[in-house]
Amino acid sequence: MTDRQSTPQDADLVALLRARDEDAFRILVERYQPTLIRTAMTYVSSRAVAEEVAQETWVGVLRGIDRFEGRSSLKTWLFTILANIARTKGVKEKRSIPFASTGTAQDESGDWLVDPSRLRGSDDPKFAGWWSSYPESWDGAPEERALGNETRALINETIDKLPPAQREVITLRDIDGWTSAEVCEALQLSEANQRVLLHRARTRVRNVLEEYLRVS
Amino acid sequence: MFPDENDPSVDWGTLTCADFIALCTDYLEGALALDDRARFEHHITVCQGCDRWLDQIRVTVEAVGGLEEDLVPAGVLDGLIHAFRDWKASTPGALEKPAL
Ligand SMILES: [Zn+2]
Repeated sequence: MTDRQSTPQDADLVALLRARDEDAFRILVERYQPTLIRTAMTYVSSRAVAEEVAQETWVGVLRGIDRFEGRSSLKTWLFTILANIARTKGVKEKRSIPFASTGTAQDESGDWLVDPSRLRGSDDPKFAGWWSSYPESWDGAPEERALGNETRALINETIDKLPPAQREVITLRDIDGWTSAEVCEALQLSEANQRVLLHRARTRVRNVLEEYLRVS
Repeated sequence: MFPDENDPSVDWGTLTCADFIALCTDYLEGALALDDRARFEHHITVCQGCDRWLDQIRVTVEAVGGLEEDLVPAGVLDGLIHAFRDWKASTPGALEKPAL
C-alpha cells in the first residue's frame, strides 16, 4: 500500500508500476491526466478526442513500461507517447509556436498585452513609451476579494480561454509547478519560446485581475 | 520615493515602460543578461507605474499558483484501472516489488 499523504517520486512509481502495483498506476493517472488532456488539446480539435488520446497514452505507458529505461524523465516519455498517438489522429498537425520575441506588445492573436493608449506617444519625446497614467494599485481591494473563490473562478476561466500553447505553459509552470527545463523538454519548446508563452499568459491573467480588483 | 519627472538631476535610465513590461517574465525567469538586468532594476527605482506592474505580475503568479488541477472523473479512472488489471493479468512483469 502506498501512502497517499506523501508524494512519491516518479522514478519510484515507475518501479512500482513495473511490479504491477495498482496504486502506483492510480497515483500517476491522478498526477498527469489533466496535463495530458490539456496537452492533447493543442494537437487535436475537440476535448473528446483529447480525452481519447490521454487514455490511449496510458495504455501505451502500460505496454512500454517494462522497456522504459528511465534515460528520459517519465514526464518526457509520457509526452512522447502522447505526441505519437495524437499524430495518428491527424487532426491538427502543426502546433502554433509564436516567434521568439518578447519585445512585442501584441500576442499571437493580435491582442495588446498593454493598451497602447496607456503609454505616452512620440508627442512627449522625453517620455515616449512611458505610462501616461500608472496602473492602479490593488492594495485597496479587500483581501478576501483578492484570494476568494470568485477570483479563482475568474482566473480559471481566463486560463481556459487562452490560446492552447499559452494555456499549457502557464498551467504546467504556475499551477503544476514544473521547471522551465521540464516544460521545454516535454513540449519541445525553446527556452525563449517558453518564456514568450508564459509572459503572454501571465500578462493576460494580470490584465483580467486588474479589471476585477480595480478600486472603484 | 519616486522622482518627479521635471527633476533635471534624475537618471531615467535607458528603458521605457513598454520595454519594462515586455521584459518582466525574462527578469523573473532570470533570463536577462547582467547589464539588462541592471537597466531593468534601475527602471524600478524611477518609475512607480512599473514598480506596481511588476508587483502585480508577482501577485498574479501567486494567485495562479493557488489553483488546483481538476480531479480525474471517477468513470475515467475506473476505465483506466480496468485497463491496468487486464494488462497485469496478461503480462508477467517483475516478480519482486521494490520498497519505496
Ligand atoms: Zn516604467
